[in-house]
Amino acid sequence: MVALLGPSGCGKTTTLRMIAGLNRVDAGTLHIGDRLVDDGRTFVAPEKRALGMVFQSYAIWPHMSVAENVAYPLQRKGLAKGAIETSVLHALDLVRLTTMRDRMPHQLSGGQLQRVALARALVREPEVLLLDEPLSNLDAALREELRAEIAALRSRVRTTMVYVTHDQGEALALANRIAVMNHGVIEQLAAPQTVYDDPATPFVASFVGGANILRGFVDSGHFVSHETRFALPTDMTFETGPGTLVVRAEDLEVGMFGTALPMSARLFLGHATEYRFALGSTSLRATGPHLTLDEPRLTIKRAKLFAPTL
Amino acid sequence: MRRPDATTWTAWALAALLVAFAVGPIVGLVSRGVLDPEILRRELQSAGAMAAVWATLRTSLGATLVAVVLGVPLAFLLERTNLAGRRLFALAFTSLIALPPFILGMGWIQLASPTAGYLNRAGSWVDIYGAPGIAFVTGTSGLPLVILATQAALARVDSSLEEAARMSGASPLRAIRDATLPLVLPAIVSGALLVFLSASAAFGVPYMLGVATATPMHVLTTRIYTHLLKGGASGLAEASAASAILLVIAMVALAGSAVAGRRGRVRLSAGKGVVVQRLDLGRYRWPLSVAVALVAFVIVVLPLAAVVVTSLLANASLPIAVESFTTAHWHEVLLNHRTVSAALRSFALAGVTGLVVCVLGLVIGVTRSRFSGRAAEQLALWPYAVPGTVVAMALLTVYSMDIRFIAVDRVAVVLSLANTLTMVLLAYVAKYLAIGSRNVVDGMNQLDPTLAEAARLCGASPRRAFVDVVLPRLRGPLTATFVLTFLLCVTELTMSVLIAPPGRDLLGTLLFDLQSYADPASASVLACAVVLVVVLGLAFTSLAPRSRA
Repeated sequence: MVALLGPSGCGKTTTLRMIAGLNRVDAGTLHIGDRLVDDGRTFVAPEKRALGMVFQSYAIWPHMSVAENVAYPLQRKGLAKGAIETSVLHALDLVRLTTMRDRMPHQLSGGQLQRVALARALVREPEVLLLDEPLSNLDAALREELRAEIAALRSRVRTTMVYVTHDQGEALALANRIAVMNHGVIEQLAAPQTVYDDPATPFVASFVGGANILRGFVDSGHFVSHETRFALPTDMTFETGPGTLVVRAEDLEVGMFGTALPMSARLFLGHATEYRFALGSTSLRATGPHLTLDEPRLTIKRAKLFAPTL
Repeated sequence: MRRPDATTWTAWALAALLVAFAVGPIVGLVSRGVLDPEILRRELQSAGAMAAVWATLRTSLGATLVAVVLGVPLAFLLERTNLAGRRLFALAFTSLIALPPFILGMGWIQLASPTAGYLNRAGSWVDIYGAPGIAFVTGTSGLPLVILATQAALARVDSSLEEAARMSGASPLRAIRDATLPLVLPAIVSGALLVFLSASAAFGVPYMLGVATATPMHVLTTRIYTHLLKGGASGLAEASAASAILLVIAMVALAGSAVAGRRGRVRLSAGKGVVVQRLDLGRYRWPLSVAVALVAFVIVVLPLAAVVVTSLLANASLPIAVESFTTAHWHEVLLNHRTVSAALRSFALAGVTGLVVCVLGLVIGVTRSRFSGRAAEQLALWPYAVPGTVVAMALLTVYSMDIRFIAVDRVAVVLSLANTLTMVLLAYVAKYLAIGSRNVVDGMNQLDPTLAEAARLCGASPRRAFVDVVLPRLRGPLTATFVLTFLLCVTELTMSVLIAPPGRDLLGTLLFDLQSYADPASASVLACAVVLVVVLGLAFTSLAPRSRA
């Protein structure tokens, strides 16, 4: 499973729709497996691509029952009635909806509609399953549950999946590989662990890890940003000169030592506490155990330096 | 879609047909008047033409006044207060929109003709003939336009605006006037302009109440009709000159309604999240309810009751009592060959028109995002907005002679439309196509595009996806289109009276003939039958399965 991850408007849905054949490519070529499907001249229509897709809005046809919705792809394939029935039952079983087969869409909850969409996308055993923000229309509890369900499904049906999301948690939890996109460009394509631990660009670091981005320069073991000096960790080497420093919130230790900064907020999150410090016009985020210090100080435990960005 | 496909070509063909059979002739009609200033000048200088222009303006403004004065308070009472029986009243008033105005006119002649009206039996005290009568009848038949427009706007004005005025020290009436009225004013204006437009285009009522009297009074539509009856080239020329004048009046009103519509859009909030609190009328609730009931009785029930009574009365001079009633007229009319064939002809024409309008509406809907579709949609609006008399006149002037296309030397196609039912069909389709395109385009815009995309990914071709997914979702708009078009065509009079082939009656023209010249009792029977068809048609639409959201 590949996740396309990025902020809204970065082109991830457009990419997915190009794979589906709902948008045409302007330049370049698009292959599914070994098959050329779009290069501007050759164009394979979406219905000829043998794909399955779960839409953000689910796109469950409201005038058809659950079973009719799921049976539709097989009818288009021209399968016999009996075969269709078996496959539909199997697909509904896969998403645990067998008891709902004769219901109409308006009788179902959001989560159930989402599972119908999954069943319909899977029923004709597509070469690639495309998922367009499938969980974004659900409330938080349901989202977690269905996230686990998709993970389970992934191991049961061994098909390639392309999963579009703006939620880094979803991408990290589900994908084998994550493509982080920004302004129509893939900034990094790597395994979740790599994307998280070794971001290729400051954008990836801030979008995936929610890291702090500091612009400034390195000067004799310190990083200077907004006229504030931060001691750099001594077990790592940094090149002297201007640069962009990326520090994740959990790598910024709050304690009695280090750089003093005015604290602007303290948010108790339950498992940890988030501290916000004013730095210039921005704020720094640090997470750590709950402390009741009046004037906590900051130490950078781990950081990554990038070439200066604008 | 990178290459124009079959659908795009169809939309282009449709646009071309609209130009050939509607917009072109209308433009031709006007330019004919402009290009031949002699005819136009003669028409403008004749005393009759000026009188007709003034009569048109007077009756139309009068009708607008009637509709606004009655409609705005009614809309407030129905939409914003706890008036008793408001749903029933709303139904009664809006049902007027489906009734052909000349049936109301017939009812009023039977009620209030100075010599024989039922209301004047005890002494002559009300006269429906003349300009005030025309204004009253067309005004009541246009009433739903004002009520519906105002109600729709009121539903979008949050009550908190009014409540804020109350908290600032305004009385309830004052709060309505200062906070709500300014916001719904554009809607009222645009409803009023629609009434004006339809009143200036009306033919049946002005003819019955204005022309067929001791002191005939012509409006522009009836003048066009009599010019045409006179026949010959000069009659046609004078009729087109009068049509050009009528068109100018309509265009001014349309421009006004476009301006009002634009202002309305800016100032009203979107539909969601609006809270409408109904005003408690308190001790005025029952008196006001009785007053509204009385209005409904007078303008809806009374004329229809008169038509029913006339259809049953053995002799017009008999007292209204059960023993004077007979079903003889009903037998006579409903088994009459002329009636039956006119009815069948009208039903067939209306049915075909309804189907064609639905299909063409779908073509426009499918191509709505492309230039071809938008062009066809815009062209379809023309004949709808232009008075029916002008549309019919335009077709007549262009197609009164055979038109020959000579192709490849020997193959000649002769287009011979004059005096055919095809011409009537063309006029109906051109006139009402806008209903289909509006309904289908709105329906398709509300449809989630991913529904069709999902079908494509499930292996359906574009056409297959349209049939399986889009079409079922359009059942509601298509049913509404068919029923509305059918009802309008079954009772169509304004255009039919000009272009129906001689000797081949349609329901509207037959009704018109019977009422104007021969036999009010038979006309009443037919009118009752038509009202019955309308009621059944409306019941069918409201009972038809609604598409679920």
